[in-house]
Amino acid sequence: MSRDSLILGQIIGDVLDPFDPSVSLRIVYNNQQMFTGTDLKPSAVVNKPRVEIGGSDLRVFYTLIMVDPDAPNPSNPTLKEYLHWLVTDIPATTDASFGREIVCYESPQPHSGIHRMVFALFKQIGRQTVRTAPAVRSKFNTMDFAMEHNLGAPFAAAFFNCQREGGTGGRRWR
Amino acid sequence: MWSSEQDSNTTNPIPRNRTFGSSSSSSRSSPSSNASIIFPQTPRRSMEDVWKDISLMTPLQNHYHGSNNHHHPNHHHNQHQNHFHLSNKSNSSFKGMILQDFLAGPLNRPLSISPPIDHPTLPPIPTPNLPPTSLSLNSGLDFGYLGNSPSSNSSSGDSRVTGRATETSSFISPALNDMITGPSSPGNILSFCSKKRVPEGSMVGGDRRQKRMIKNRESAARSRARKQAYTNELELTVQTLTQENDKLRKQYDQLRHSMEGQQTTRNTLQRCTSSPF
Repeated sequence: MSRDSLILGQIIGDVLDPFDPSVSLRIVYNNQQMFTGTDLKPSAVVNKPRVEIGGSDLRVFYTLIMVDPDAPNPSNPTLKEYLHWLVTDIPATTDASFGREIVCYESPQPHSGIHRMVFALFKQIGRQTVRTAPAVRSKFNTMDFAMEHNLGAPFAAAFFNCQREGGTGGRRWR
Repeated sequence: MWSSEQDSNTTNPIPRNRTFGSSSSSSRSSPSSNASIIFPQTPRRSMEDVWKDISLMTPLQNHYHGSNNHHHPNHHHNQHQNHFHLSNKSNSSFKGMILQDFLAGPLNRPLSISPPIDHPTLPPIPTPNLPPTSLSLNSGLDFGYLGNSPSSNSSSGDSRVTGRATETSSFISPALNDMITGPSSPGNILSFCSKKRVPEGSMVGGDRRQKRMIKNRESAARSRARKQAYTNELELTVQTLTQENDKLRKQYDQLRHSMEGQQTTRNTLQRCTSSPF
């Protein structure tokens, strides 16, 4: 269902492998819930959002990864993917502020094109399984990172579209 | 007439040789000169006429092949020489060719469109001879540009101007005055491709056009994907919200009924135990 949006937006394929969403993920920017596929300008996403995780057991921990697979330009993504945010040890039923921010939130500033900003949630097998931050933000690979840290398949994902502040809004279909 | 033109063409120095090269460029120049002469007198010709001319000329000018590239509307690089040449020859035919060729690919252009047909005011490509500094970058005849008269290229021009009649039109007009007679008016004349002045071979121009086209297609596909993803998500949300709304309404009604029931009982006095004394 919401997985279809991820397939249509090519998130499954470019960033993540196919999976079945099993935990609710609610992302709130500026007190407004962000639905997958919406457009947000950089001014709206300057500060980190509130990310509420579903689930039921406080002893289950999740890792949240936010990447930009279209850096620096969707038609030429040489820096794919660019890591914007990495938070681990988030207990279920809480939000990201309860976790450990390993890579701090960097607000998206796309220079050209319309970029997809992807949130992916992974379940950790235990606490503190993710410790080391990558050396650079660019050329990040979410699935490889998940494999290295035994995170398995994603449990939830969402994305929004972001273009530069003065952007014209893309092709006219709205 | 054509032959004479050709001779003149060959003598014309054309600094930039596109792959189709000197011959084509030279031929271009000649047609232009002829064109300039011709234009004023020739009324608009139908495409069929032009096409006929072209096909007649075809055997004569095999070397002109390849210049058709410029017809691509998308791609405005470089093509100048070739298509200047072509434009002169057969504007209308180009048009026809362009459509087919455009669909078929950049290198399918009919080669021989050589003789500068009386250039009707048909499809655009006027390539006035601009001073050497002005380089025409646009490759193709855009259909949009129709209209005018291929200007004369005679002589010096390396610059082939194709493409949009935008900014350069004013730039062109002084140069054109001498060269271009007839139907081409500054307004009609295509201007240079505004920003891209890259001296390259015509082959590269064709590749660039292809690349541009591919990139554009990818961008369009991404845009469609975005749109679909957004709509899908929106529909999902609407569905969830509607269901939640119905559920909440039911709950509310149930609660209200049970409340009412309780209230009726409360309206009557009830006995209760009082303190014993």
